Amino acid sequence: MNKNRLALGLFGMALAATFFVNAQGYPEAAAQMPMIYSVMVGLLSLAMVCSELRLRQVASRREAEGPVVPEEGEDRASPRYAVTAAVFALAVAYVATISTLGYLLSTTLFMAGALVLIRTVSVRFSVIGSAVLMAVVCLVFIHFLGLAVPFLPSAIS
Amino acid sequence: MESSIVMTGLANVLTLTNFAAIFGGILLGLFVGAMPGLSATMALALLLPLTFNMDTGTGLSMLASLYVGASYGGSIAAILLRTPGTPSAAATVLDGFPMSQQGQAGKALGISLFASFIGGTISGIALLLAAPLLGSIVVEFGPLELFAIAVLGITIIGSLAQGSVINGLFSGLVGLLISTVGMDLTTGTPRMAFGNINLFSGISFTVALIGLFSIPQALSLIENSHGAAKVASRITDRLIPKFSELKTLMPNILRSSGIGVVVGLIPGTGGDTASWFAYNEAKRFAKDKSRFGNGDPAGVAAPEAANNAVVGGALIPTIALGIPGSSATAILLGALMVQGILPGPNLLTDYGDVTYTLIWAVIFANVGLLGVGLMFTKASVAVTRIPDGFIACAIIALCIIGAYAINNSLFEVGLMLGFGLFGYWLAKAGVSPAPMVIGLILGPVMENAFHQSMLIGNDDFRIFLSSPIAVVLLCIAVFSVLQATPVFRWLLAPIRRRTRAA
Repeated sequence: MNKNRLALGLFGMALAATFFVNAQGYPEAAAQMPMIYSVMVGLLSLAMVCSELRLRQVASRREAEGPVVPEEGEDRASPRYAVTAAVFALAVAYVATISTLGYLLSTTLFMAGALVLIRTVSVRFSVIGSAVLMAVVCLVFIHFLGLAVPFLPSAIS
Repeated sequence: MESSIVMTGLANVLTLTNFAAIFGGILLGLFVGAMPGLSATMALALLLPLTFNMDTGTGLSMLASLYVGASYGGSIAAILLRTPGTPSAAATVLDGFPMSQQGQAGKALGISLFASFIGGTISGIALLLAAPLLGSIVVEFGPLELFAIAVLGITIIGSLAQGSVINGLFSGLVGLLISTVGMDLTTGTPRMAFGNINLFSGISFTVALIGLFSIPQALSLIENSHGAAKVASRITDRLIPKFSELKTLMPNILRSSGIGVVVGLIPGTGGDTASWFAYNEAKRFAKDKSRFGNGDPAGVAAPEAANNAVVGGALIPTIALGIPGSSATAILLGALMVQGILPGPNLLTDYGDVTYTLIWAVIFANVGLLGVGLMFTKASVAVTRIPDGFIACAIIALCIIGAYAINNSLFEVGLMLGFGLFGYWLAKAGVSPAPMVIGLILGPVMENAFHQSMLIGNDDFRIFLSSPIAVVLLCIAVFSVLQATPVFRWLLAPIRRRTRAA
């Protein structure tokens, strides 16, 4: 059973319910499509949940019939979920600090922090690579596109 | 008038700026395609904000060239690293990697390049010829037909996307639901805005696109970054294949190109489907099938010709009907939307010069691919050595600046990260984000067409039965959903039993 798919189905039902309830307060013309879509999303979410529960039932019936022999395969390293979550949290912090710390400092801190967490990139490559990346971003987005991003900390600029 | 628009499109592409954009796009696509873990769609999503300030023709040329470059670039990692750089190069691994192990890496890459060039050029010409033919049919389309096309687009893509039909339709319908956020154009009612002024104009398609296609890939790279260095086979032989070898492979390449164009026509199927189909057909037609899987050049030529031919094929329904055939063509359509050009069958009529610029850009990109590929294939091997962990951080940094570049709004950057997290969740659940993106594009089209149709029909749903074209399209939509469900298998079961008994 795929727990993520089961959770997604439950989320879909909640999303559909939210849109449906909100749509009831709109004028008829504005409410039509959201209500149609939310009903369909709700039904498909329910189908998703039911199919996952059915798969779970089938799997537990098979287990009851006899133990499942695990397939022989390569030893795979386990996925690094904690590091992934930490880097994503860093990305959120990065966005939150762009306006106060400035693009340059917040990007440097994000790249440094993320690469330290990931640990599989050498220090030399990290420094050179990050410098090249920021140079390319400054050239393309700030110089070429004229993007008005706060470059330096708000206290200094 | 028709031929003048075609020539206007050609003239738009034939500028130094556009040639530079095509060159840059192919090179970028080559590097992105060569790196396992990155996809053409992700690169297109990241490049899209850059094209906002460009001339429409230049932006489209660059995006189309990136798509073409990445379609070939995936074979570089497939042949040298035994890992497809893009999903559409998965079949290339089977014979490409054994060839590199036999000291024929250059030959494999050369065959891949020439097959990609021929397949892509044939599909570009097919696009140039077929699009106006379809365009002359769809000029008669009204709101009823537009609504039916939008429904067909969502159901076909939903039922053919990876995973079950429930997953695909769920993704598409969530996209349609999210597209209703913002001000309703008919009544001026803000929907699902929760008083947040940033949501009054709705959720930007580009923000969702960058989040859904780029962030999950970056997170996936981090998840699997265990520090094992990628070891690429060395290229010790010549890249350019002998003329006699190409001549022997030509029937295979032409057949595979045809397969690619036809598969590309079907929304929801893409390079990966075409490449496996072409590989299987190449094996079926081969005199010595035992060589397949052990380094047969035909096993490299077939999938590569097909996956590049998909590009033009997928653009046919995109341009003629306004239904994106894949997530990559959805991004190309998004690039048009950013320039104020709305998707729909009127692309060829109201915006013919821009549309033909895109078509010619695809043809020139395939021609340019040959030159750029010969010059830079060996250089792109170096790119495969960049650690996955660094690539992931770079993608996140580029996503953030790219999302900021859309409307200078940190709210939208936050929204992009939210979509990114949702896209990661979808990936874990085995649900493709492509139908969701297409739902976001087609949502406003569908809603407008629906309202107009109901106005015409005085709120009677039977108005949709009054148009034979709409009825046919809606029936195909229903069929496309049913064929992927147990209902269809149950209906066909008696016929299958009779056939087996006979």
